[in-house]
Amino acid sequence: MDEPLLSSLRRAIDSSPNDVHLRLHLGQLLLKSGAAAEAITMAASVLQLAPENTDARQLMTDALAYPANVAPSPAAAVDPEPVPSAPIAPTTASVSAPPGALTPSPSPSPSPEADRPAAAEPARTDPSAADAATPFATEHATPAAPITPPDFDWSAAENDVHDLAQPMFVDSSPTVAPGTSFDIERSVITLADVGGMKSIKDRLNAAFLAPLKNPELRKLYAKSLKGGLLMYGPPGCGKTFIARAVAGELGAHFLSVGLADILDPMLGNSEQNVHEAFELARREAPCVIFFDEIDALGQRRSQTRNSALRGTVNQLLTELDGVADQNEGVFVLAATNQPWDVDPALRRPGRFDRTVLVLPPDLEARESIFRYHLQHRPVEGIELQALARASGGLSGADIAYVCEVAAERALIDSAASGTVRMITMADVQGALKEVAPSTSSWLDSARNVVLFGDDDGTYAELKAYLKKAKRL
Amino acid sequence: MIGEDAALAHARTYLSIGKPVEALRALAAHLATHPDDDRGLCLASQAHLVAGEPARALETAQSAAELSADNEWAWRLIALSLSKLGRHDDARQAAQTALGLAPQLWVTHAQVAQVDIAARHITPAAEEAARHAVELAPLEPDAHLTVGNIALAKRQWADAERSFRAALTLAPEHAAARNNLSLVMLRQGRAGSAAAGFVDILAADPGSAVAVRNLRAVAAVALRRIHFILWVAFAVVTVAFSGNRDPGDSAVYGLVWTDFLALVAVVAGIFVVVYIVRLRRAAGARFAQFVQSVPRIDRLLTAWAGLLVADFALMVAACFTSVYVAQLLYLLAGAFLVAGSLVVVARRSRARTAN
Repeated sequence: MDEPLLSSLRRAIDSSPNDVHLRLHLGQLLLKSGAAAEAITMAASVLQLAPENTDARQLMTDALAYPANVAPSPAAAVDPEPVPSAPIAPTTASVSAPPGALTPSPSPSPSPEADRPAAAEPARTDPSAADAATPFATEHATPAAPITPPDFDWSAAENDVHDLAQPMFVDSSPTVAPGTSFDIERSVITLADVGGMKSIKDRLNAAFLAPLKNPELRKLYAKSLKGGLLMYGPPGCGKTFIARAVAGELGAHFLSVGLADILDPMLGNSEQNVHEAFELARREAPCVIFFDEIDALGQRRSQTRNSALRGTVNQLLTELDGVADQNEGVFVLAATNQPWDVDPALRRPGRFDRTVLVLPPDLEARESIFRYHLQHRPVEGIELQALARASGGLSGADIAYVCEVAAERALIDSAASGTVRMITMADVQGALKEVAPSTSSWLDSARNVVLFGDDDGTYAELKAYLKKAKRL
Repeated sequence: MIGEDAALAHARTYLSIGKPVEALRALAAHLATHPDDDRGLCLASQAHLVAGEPARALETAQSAAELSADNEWAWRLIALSLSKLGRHDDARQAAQTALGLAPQLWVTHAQVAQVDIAARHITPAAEEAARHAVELAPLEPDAHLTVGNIALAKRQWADAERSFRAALTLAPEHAAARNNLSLVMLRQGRAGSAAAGFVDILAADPGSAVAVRNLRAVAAVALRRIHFILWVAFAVVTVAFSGNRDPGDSAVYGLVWTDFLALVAVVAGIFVVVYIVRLRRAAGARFAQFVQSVPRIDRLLTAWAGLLVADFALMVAACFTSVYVAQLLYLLAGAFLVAGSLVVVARRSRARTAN
């Protein structure tokens, strides 16, 4: 960046300190030149003059995120310990170098983060984490110093883009090999990674895992492996996560199939996609094939006039039934928020004949979810148990949103005050008051199912839960 | 299938499973390459309507109509969007334009009628259009539904019932026809049959907020009837004994006061029991579900029912006490009846706030 231009802008600001636009312009130029710390100072000074200035907020956000946006520095790249993606922590360190409004403490310590919140957050007491923040501070304190790029790894770059770059010329109707549109993965998580939710784990074990893991007992009791497991419950309560954990528990591949993976504009292709998914799972056996939103795909055939969808449901039934031992080693899981909308044909024995109710997380699970979503953010004084107690009825997705809102509060406050601060208990508690449980409408529908549906025992588990939750 | 039609079919599939956002996403790529495809724009408008975005639906349908002024579908969508936005006069004009473009289609006639139904002002033109829709498509349940809705709006219960039953004969699981048929029964005073109908709807579609609301209305109608019986009993006793001082005084035909109180309580009880038995007979197997659901779907209804039960208990207790205690108990019973009326007011106020 043109240093004389910056100098002249600085002089102009000295002579006209209340000119917001001038400060903003200089801040943007400083950010472009890599002087994020100075840009933050400039954004903060603008926000002090005009707290509602959206450009200044944007500049502050960009400057705060600057270390994440730039290419990883060699120091960060060689760090064997993955640094939590705490965007504020390194910036706090970096802004401690230049004098100004953003310095959080009068202490001239070069790394105030290392000792300040040590008692509050275990992650910060980790010396490696404290050390990891230092290179950022050094880097931003001396913005003019060029970053020496490492030797460019062309093969790694090719690997990075090989499935992004498209060929220049393609056939008008490309032939897609079966299974190429699906991603298959090896799940590394197990049920042990699912916090709390003991009753669900027990039920999964009894209904699904125990027979699979004990082939001798299975043979002794002539227990068939046919049939899949249908998980149902309110949205955002971890059905997909549990499906992955089941795959991990079985040491199987995991193939997740969503509605968009199946439905195809071309006539007949949706049925073909269902077939391809099963073929891929059979080739990669042992494999868990997981159908998300099965209610959309396997809607009651009486409810849909759409012939394309009827064909898809029929294909799914055919694949589930299989022939001979075709589906050996293929474990079929499905998830739905509305099991009552699923075609009864899909629930017949040998298909999705076992069900597990995945409920909003219990106390222990909520604590784990809060920990997971806060552990990589700059937090202090967070009482996880208190939060877990105060968040009854929230789904996992709701809790994630609470953490987002809390982080946003701290960020906006930091931007407005010009002093970067940690996310505190008050932020999270405030966010908790803002977020209403997204599970309420589902529970109302579930209550109607239990109240008005046929009491054939299908929803006995749900009924027991609703009674316990005093919703029935 | 050519690519263009395939994209539209794809969007239709998403719409048929109630996923308007996905339908719009599927249409976006198509409309980016075919911005002048009025059918694509109409589908997008439909998706916006399903997503509860009538303003955007109107905008998109208007774009389609600009591209192809003789597209009756676009004009119907404009009429529907305007109705949702409360611009009923404009909606009426748009529906008439669609009708002028395709008078041979039953849907254009039905749209003219639906605009008036939404405006809650049924014109002779709307009645005529609804009748014409059925003439053009006698096997289309929605045409019968439209005629039924016109009759419902005009409080012609028998005609409405006939049309809704016709729609249900053609499509037994037609949720709107079932709901409106139950509503007609409720308006005709057949609360038991109405309750059974709404319970059936909720069994098939547990997420139906309309059915829950209507079931609450059925329960309120039943409680109102019982409340009325108890008010009458209370009034009779109050009037008959208002001037008496001596316990031996006879109010009516030489009856002593205890006998009179007992007679009133028994008669009131018989009226209540007969009403409940009639409800039970009409509701059939769904009666138990209806009764059990009331405390779960509306706590104020439970409070109201509790007050009425307590009121009747006090009336019965008064038959077995001294005259002064009986007077006191009747005073309390009157207070309970007033409290019940306050609950009714609270429910109405809550309903207004919710709307």
